[in-house]
Amino acid sequence: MTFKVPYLNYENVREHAKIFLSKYHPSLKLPVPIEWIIESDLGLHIHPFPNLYRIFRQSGFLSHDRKVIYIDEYQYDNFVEKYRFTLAHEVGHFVMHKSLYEDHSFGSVQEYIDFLQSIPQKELYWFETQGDWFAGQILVPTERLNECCVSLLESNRERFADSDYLSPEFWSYASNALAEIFEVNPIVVEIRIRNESLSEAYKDYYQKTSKQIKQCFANFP
Amino acid sequence: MYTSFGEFFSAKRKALGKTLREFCRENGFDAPNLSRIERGLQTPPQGKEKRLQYARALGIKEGSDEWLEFCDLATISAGKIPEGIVSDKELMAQIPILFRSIKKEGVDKEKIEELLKALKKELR
Repeated sequence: MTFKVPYLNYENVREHAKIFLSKYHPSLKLPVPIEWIIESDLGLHIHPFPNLYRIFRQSGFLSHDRKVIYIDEYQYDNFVEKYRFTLAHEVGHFVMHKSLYEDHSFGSVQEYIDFLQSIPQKELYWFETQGDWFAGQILVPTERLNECCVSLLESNRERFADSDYLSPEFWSYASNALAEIFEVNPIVVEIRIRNESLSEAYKDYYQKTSKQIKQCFANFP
Repeated sequence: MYTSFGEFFSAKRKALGKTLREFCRENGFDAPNLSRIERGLQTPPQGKEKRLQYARALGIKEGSDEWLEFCDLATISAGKIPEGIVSDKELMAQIPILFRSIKKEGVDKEKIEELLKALKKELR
């Protein structure tokens, strides 16, 4: 029984995220209500699991029958941003990796352990990376991220208008400023900004005319 | 028409627009317990006081038709809760398909067994 995670690049994951958002949250109103979507639209249970991270180094996992998302109880109670990301990550597996869950069944504990011991580490990395990409894209939708960046740039016009270009450091600041809006940790926004190449697209923002800015908007996926 | 107390409870909670976490936080309920009740893994409350506490939080008035349905389902569902040892089949439906602790040197068998033990505890 071999375990092979399908190769999905960032654009492939984007397609999944787009379909997901258009189906379950077309308004893109922020923050994306991932917890509600999971319980009400997908009909899954979210179950707080004591010490899941402390003992097993797992923030959460989707059950094999794809009906329950188990979440570290401490995270569930205390870290809403991390909690939301974990939920969205597991939804990524629910959406993109359905066949992996269906194709592998285990009759006994020993069979399960043998299976885990046979999985190459790189497959695990692919599996988790795709989940992370999906989570980032649904919690920080590209369209909204773009709008928020422009709004932030506008509110900082006075301070940076004379700069020839915006330094990458500006985008670390932007991540902190925008994280609250999306209800995620700043690093999630920073990675999203990097993956959408927004720092490159807007590096000479203050030198652009409003027509050029509009054109910039039109080029985003 | 609801077939179980858990299903009824979950539907009423969602009708209030509340996630399980919000509902528990606002009413001081234990989320893992309530999750187990909604999933049909734990016996619904049999005492009147606890039933009333849940019903009030769900906006159900004592003596109403919904209250009667709430109580009937709590009684009926109590006899349907799985008891005893968790079967391998039941456990295998709940496992993570991958375990993030997989390391270069391979998966830690003891850790997996410990996780399965903890998972069993969550199912009863």
